[in-house]
Amino acid sequence: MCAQAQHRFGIMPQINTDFKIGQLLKVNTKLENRFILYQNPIQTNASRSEYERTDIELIVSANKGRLKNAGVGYLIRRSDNDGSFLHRSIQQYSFGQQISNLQLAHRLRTDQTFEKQEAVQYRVRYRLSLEKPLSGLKVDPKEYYMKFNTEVMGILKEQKTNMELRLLSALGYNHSDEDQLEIGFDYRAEDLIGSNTENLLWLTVGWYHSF
Amino acid sequence: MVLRRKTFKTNMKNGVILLMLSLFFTVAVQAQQKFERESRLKISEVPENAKLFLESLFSNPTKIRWYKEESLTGITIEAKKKEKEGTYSIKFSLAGELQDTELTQKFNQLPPETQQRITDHLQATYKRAKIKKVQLQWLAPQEIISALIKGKQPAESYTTNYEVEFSGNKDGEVKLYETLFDHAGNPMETKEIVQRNLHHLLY
Repeated sequence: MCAQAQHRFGIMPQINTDFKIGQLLKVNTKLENRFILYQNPIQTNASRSEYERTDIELIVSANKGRLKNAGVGYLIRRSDNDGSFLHRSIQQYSFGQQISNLQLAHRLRTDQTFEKQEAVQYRVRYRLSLEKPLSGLKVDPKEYYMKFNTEVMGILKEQKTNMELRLLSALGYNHSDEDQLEIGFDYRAEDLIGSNTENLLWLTVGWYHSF
Repeated sequence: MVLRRKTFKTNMKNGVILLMLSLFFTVAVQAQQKFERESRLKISEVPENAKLFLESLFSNPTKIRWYKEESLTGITIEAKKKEKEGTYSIKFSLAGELQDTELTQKFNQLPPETQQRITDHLQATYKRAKIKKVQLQWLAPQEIISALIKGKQPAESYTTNYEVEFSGNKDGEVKLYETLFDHAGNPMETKEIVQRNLHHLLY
C-alpha cells in the first residue's frame, strides 16, 4: 500500500439506493468516489489534486422477524494508488430512535478488510446520527433538515491497534420520503494513536433514493 | 507523462462504468401519501383569541411554540408548551376555536384500573407491545380547560381520553400504532403510524 498525504481535502460524491426483496429483505447499495483537491505533503508520483478511489458497497438487511435491522454486506474498492482492489466483508446492526423532534439512528458495524500482500484489518465501529428538522416538528416532504454524524472506530491489524474518528455535518433536503439530497463536510482523523494522525476533510454530496 | 494520461483515461472509463452499474436499477417510484404535515407559525400569524387564551393559562407565554398542522381532516393551529407536569398540546381551528387539549403523561400516572384495561387490551391484541408515549386528552370548553390546567377541579363534566403510542408485534411484524382509549381504558380507535424511511441515517 502506498503512503498517503497526512492532510487531504477533497470532494466525495455518493449515490445511495435501497429496495426491498419481498417482505423479508432490504438491500442498500452505495457508490462513492473520492477526488483529492488538495493534499500536503505531496507524495512521490502524486499531484496536488487527483482521483483517489471508488467504492461500491452492498448491504442486505432483514426487514422483519427476530433479525430485523441486522445485515451483512460487501464492499469493493478500486484505489488509484496502484490500481489494486480491496475487499471488505461487513456486518451491521442499525436502528432509529425518536427523541422529541430529533430523529436519532444508531449503527454498529464490524468489518474485515482484505488486500493483496496485506494482513487482514479488523474494525469495530459505532456511529450516532442525528437529524433535526429545520421547520416544524418533523421532517416532511419538501423540507430541509440538518444531519450530524459522529463515528468512532477501533482498528486491529497485525496485532497493532488504532482508532479513527469521523464527524459529519450536512444540510439535507427531503424531496419526498424516497428521496433526500445532502451536502456537507465530513472530517476524518485517521490513525489517532501515534504521531502519524491523518486529517481528511471531504465535501460530501449525497443522493439517497429508495425504490 | 504518457503513462499518467493513459492511467487517467482508464480511471475515468472505470468511473463511468461503475456509475452506470450503480444506476442500473433506476426506476421512478411515486412517493407515499403524507398523513400529517406541520410548519412553524410566527406569533403574528396566530388568531388573536387563541393567543389570548394561552396567555391566560401560562405565566411565560413567550415559550409557547405555535404550529400549523395539515392533515387529512383539515388544517389546525397547535400550541405547544412545556410545564413541569408535562408538555401541553392545545389545538385550535383556523378561526381560533379550541378543539383539543393534550398533556403528556407517564403510563403509571393513569388510574390503576385504566392502566390494567389498556395493558390487557395490548397483550390480547399484540405480541410484545411496548408503550412509547401517553397523552391525556381533554375535550371541554375553554373555561373547564383553564381550570384543569391551573390544577382546579371544575364542577362541570368533561371528557377525558388517553392517546397511547406504542410498538406492537402483529403477524411477525413490528409496527408503530396509536390507540385512543376512553377514561376507563376501553379502546376507541387505532391508527398505524407510518414510519419514515431512515436510509439516509441508517446506512
